[in-house]
Amino acid sequence: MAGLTIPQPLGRGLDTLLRPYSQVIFSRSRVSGALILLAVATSPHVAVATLLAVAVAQTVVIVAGLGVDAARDGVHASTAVLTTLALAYGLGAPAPALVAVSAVLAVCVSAAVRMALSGGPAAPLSLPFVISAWTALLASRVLPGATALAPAVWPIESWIASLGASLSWLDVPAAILFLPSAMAGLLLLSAIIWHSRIAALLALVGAAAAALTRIVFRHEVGWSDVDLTASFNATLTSMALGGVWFVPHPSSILLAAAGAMLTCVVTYALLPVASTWSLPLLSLPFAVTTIAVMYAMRLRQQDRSPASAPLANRPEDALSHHLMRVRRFGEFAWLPFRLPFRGPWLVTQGHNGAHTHKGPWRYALDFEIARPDADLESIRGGELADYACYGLPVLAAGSGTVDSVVDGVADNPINGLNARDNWGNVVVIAHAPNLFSVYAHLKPRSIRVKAGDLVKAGVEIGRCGNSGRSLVPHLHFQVQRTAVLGSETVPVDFGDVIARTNDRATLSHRVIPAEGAVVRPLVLDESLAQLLAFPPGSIWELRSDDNQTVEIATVDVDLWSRRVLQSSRGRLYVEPYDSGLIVVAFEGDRDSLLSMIRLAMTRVPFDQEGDLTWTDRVPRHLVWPGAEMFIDVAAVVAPGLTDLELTLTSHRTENAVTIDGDGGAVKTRLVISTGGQPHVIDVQRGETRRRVTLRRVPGDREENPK
Amino acid sequence: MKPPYERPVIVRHQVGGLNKFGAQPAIRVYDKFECVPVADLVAQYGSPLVLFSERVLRERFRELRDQLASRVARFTIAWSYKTNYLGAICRVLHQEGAWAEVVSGLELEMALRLGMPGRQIIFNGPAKSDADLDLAFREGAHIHIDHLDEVALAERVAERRGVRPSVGLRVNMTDLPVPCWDRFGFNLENGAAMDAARRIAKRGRLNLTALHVHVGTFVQERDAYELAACALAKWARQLREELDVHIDTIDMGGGFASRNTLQTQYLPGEQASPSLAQYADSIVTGLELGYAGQELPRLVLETGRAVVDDSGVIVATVVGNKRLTDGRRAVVLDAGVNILPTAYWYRHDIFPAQDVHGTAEPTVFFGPLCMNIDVVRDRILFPSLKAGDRVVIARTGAYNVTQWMQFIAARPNVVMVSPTGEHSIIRRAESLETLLQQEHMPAWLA
Repeated sequence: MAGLTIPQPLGRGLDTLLRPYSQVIFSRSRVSGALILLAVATSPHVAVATLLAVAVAQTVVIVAGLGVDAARDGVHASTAVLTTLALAYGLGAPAPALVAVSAVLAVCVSAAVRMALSGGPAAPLSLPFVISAWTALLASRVLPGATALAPAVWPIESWIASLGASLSWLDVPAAILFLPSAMAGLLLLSAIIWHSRIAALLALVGAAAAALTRIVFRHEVGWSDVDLTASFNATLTSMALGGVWFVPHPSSILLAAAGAMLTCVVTYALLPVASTWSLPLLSLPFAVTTIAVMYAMRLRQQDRSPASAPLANRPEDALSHHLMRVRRFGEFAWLPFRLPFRGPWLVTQGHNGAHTHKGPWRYALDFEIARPDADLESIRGGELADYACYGLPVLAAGSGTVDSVVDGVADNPINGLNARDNWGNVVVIAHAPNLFSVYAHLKPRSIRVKAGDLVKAGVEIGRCGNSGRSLVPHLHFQVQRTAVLGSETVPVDFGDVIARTNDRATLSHRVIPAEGAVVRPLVLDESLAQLLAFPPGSIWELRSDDNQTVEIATVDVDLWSRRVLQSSRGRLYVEPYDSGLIVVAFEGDRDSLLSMIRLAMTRVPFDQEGDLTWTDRVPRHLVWPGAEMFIDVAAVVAPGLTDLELTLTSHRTENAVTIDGDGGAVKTRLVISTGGQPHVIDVQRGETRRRVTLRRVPGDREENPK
Repeated sequence: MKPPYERPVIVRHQVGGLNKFGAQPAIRVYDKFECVPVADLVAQYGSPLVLFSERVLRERFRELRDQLASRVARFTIAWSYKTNYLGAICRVLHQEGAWAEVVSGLELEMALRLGMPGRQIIFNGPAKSDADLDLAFREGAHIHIDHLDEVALAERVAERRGVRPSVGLRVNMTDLPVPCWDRFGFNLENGAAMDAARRIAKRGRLNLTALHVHVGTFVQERDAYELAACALAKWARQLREELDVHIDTIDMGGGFASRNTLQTQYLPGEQASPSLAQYADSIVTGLELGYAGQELPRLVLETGRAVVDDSGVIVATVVGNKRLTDGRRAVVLDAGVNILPTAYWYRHDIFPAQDVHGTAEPTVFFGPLCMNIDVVRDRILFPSLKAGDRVVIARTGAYNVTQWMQFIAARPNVVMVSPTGEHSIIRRAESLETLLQQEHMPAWLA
């Protein structure tokens, strides 16, 4: 929430109190939690009971040593809240002792189920809640009768009812809390809308799917408890599948609708079973269906449409993280393969090449070096050493384990051909299941690795030669599905590929080099790498040019080895990558000075080239703030709305590397000083122009020991 | 059109009409420099005229960078200032990512004034003063120490400044197939280098991180690089084992031959000089042998001549013709060894800058100096020229604009032509005023 700052200790306390409520709708928002608490408060005695449950549960979480973070996250206490709501639903007014004991039970079951399912593809969802609620309900039957308190009704509800509006559809959201109150439904709905518009949309989709299912299967019978249970379970399934576990997308909405309909059928199936023991179904159909779908989706060959969601607080955040990652770095990984050599090489046969790259081997690449003073065709003949690539290092394209090595095949003379040992001397590296890279025709006795070796991307594995089915020295590279030489090839992107046309070098992040292209990997500029290293523990000062604003950012490292620049107004995440600076995310105040780094310093390749051009994407909301609510939802169908493409051009002088960014509406300039001056960042949006200087605070390490 | 009149000459029959490679080379007319007519440039900037092609300079640098990039992961190319320290030339190379390699306090200040950060300056040379070292340490430049007195001086200056700078040792070797340059650095074989390293390590005031060898100049024997690199690499490993000194940088200096032809050379330079790829190959092979599978340190090259030589030419105008007593034709040019000192070493290629006619005959080109040694080229087959015609002397980019002398005549304009054909003066011609400005008349002579 912009503009409203809550002191940290108070914020933690509020989280501990309110997240048990907000977690009911997969949210961590305090406002949503408060709205749900208000919804529960439409029955004041139930609200009191849930507050008791939260107090007991959070105490157990902390005393049992599950950790303050678990308490603050509220998942276990959320189970206790739902259990209490179920008890109130089943018993009217449960005794405080029963509420307290159930809360302890809820925490135990929640932790246990979480533990049991950890590492698997599915989350416990409401499974712990159903177990603990059923246990408590069954136990209550032999316990002394519950104290009956008259359910209170808020006067405002009768006022809304008096408007004559038909609010019966609000029973569905209210049923998520097991409260028979339209007012509670309205408040829960507001909580969902506040939390996320995409979640609200998905809730609507779920309810609609449930209504459709009802029309298909039960149109002849009247609206009953079955339909209510089916509807609210379907709503939950839709929200979970469409926005929490999968990235919001038309395909995820389709999945959500299908899941919702399935939930209804599961409800019809389970209801008679539960009735046998006179137990309410609660949200069991939702949990069963969603977990089943999540397991099933893991068997897909490719994680796309819908893609699994990254960890995020809201569907909107998951979507924007996902889009930014995919649109900047591709679908498979944020960093693709590197070219398997150093310096500029010519692609002499590309994908679907004319000679041998056909059929299952169509995604192979042949590389040679074109001599500056002779075109390749004019020197077909002569000695091996006449070929510039002969004997040059061949590098691992990615990190992995050496799967197999063949060595000892002699080099052919020029235009000789050894059809018996097709691949010649060859190395196969396993990068991931179903992902193997092959380097063929290497020079005999040049291979430096053996099967089982761990290799990092860019280490030398051998030398370019002319062994096997090779007329002239060249490197044959392919990526294939299995370790067996000659198995089916797959196309892969290369990252940081530099090509020169006329007087301009262009860097591409994800590219499959075309036949005839001369491409090279980055040539590391160590000075630049050193300047932008942002070492952990270092402290940086950002200062606006009018000297009005100063932000101090400290550098830390997170679990994923990303460096995090943290100031009082935001956090900036820098990918751990040796060959360039890549800012992957910015969280926080978009007017902060730190956010300008996300715009102007988004990606800086550490290359020795004087002038270089590349593109990158920056979040649109940092450029055009204001319309997030609309854009966040619209991005489900129009991913291009969330970011802006910048064309970046670097230019080197004696004491600076200047990088100009042009994104139409936004223009950026970054001047990286190589001579010890502060770096300067300019961002121009329309008529507004901002300038900030960035410098490392000298002696930071000594002054602030970590 | 009426054919031009050709003066009749009687040429003595010579065996030299054919050489072992076949017929005499066709005369190429060099009437454009980077798509700009030479005549236009001379009309605008005067004659003689020193020209530089920005395109050739960048391309040659990139070729060197590509050759290194193909072979090693970590390297830096430093621009040897003494080869050509005109600001525009240095700027082009710094734009391409070159560091600066300087050999005097004056050159150090030049690099700093151009804006180079000290961390990207390598300071070589046998004669560094206290003030030079003080400036170098203040700016964070990397000094390569030449002799033991310099070790002591550097230690004193570092102590005074309260810093512990990273330094390199310059080393020379006897066992190389080139003349031993033992006047620079410490000898490796006789143990002088080890003594210096031991002293530096023991005193601890300086941080020894780099080793530097410079095998010679215009070295066509590229095995010398392989042997030197291997020896240096082995010594770096020895330093690590014996003194726990970690060498992060191996500086193989420069000395690569350009494509010019030496006076004493039989084959033309294009064929005799190794390519940049071959030099890079020798150096990296040597390092790999010496490091025996260990990760290579950063490789530094201080290439000058091989990068800049091809990018420069000198345009000269024929002042007059004469016939020598041995029958050779002599041509007097307005450019001589005063602005082309490399004519002492090279048989520079010379081309006519306008259409030529008539039989090529052995010709000697003299410069304008009233000195017998002012010979630009002592024998070249050339068609007849008349006064006012222009010739282009090729591959003059290295050393000429730093070693030229103000002797008898003033230095001419130096012009750079951009890849798009823009051109501009990068150093103005000197005049009488330039000379007189430096002079001072003592009061007693007034």
